[in-house]
Amino acid sequence: MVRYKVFINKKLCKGCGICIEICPRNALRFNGINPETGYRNPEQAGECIGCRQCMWYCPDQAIVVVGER
Amino acid sequence: MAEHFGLKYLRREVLPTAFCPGCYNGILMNALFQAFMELGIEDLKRFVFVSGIGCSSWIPSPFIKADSLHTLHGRAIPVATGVKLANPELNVIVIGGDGDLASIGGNHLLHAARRNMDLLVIMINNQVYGMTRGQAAPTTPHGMITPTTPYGNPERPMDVASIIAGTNANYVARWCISQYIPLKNSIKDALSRYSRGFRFLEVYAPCVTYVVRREGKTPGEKLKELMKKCVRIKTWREMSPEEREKHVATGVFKAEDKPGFIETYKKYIAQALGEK
Ligand SMILES: Cc1ncc(C[n+]2csc(CCOP(=O)(O)OP(=O)(O)O)c2C)c(N)n1
Ligand code: SF4
Ligand code: SF4
Ligand code: SF4
Ligand SMILES: [Mg+2]
Repeated sequence: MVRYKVFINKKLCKGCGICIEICPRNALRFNGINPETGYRNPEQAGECIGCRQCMWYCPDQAIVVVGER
Repeated sequence: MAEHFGLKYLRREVLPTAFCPGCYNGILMNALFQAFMELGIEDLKRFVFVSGIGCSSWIPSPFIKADSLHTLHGRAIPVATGVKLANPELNVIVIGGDGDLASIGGNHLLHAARRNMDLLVIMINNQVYGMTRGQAAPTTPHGMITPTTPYGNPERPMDVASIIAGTNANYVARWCISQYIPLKNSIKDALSRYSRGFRFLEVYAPCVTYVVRREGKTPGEKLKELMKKCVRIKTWREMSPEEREKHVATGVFKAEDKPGFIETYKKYIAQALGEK
């Protein structure tokens, strides 16, 4: 079984929520407010199937999905 | 921590971008960078980016790590033409808005396409003048309320991709920002299989702040809506006029590989110099 991990770059994330809404597995959720930027940052909260949609559609190059298909 | 594939093409010191949270301009940047990566383009030394004025014109300058010219509103294409003529070895890419390229710069766009000038032009159709707060543009849908059309836009939008397909341009495509993979593949084609002449990509990507939020939607909800609203050209043609208004026709409108202006002009110069 392959495991995928989603990394969020908190310096770049603007808390738009696209990744959370686009994820087909509801694997992401917001986790508090980042005091450095004032934006909410998502975190991984469920199983990721590695589809990469959150990475493609994050407008701020703030997501990296790691793990091979 | 693993690194995003786009970061090596960006000037990290100026990030995050100046775009509003959720602005779809950043998704186009991902598609562009992924196309570079898949084409094996390591750095952008042989590229020059030219833009005009507007939010979309900020994509290359200052964010992309390459030489760029941030020119006047509407005038990116004539400047890009000058760059290409001065040094035909360079890959010249214009990125700009619908207002910039189709409104104030519309005539430049039309005639560079007619000449089949060796440029790749990427036009972000966000349906409004985003930078100046969302006034109506020639691409604004009929009936849309904006600060300059408070009772709904009385005009109908122009179909820029179809107009450019009617010129001598080699390659013309339109994709919605929700069609990430075909958009990325189209950028790759416009830089590899169709690397000469005029190549035009219209990217349908409503302004998140002045179109999407005004509709009461989040950028994520709108993306999912676009996934249904954007259909292939063939499907769109088979629709009733009412259905067509509710959808966006996307796909490749034209793909040819005729010699571009530069090649033709080089021959012309040789002739004038009496060479065979
Ligand atoms: C000659 C001139 N006229 C008007 C303006 C004001 N102006 C700045 S950006 C802009 C429109 C931008 O719209 P668009 O090109 O669609 O880019 P967007 O911001 O929507 O990405 C206008 C009218 C200007 N800067 N220069
Ligand atoms: S899509 Fe990107 S910028 Fe938006 S909330 Fe997710 S990680 Fe942050
Ligand atoms: S890669 Fe796919 S499944 Fe995993 S978090 Fe991103 S969108 Fe969700
Ligand atoms: S005004 Fe619109 S186009 Fe400009 S940065 Fe904001 S969302 Fe993007
Ligand atoms: Mg615009």
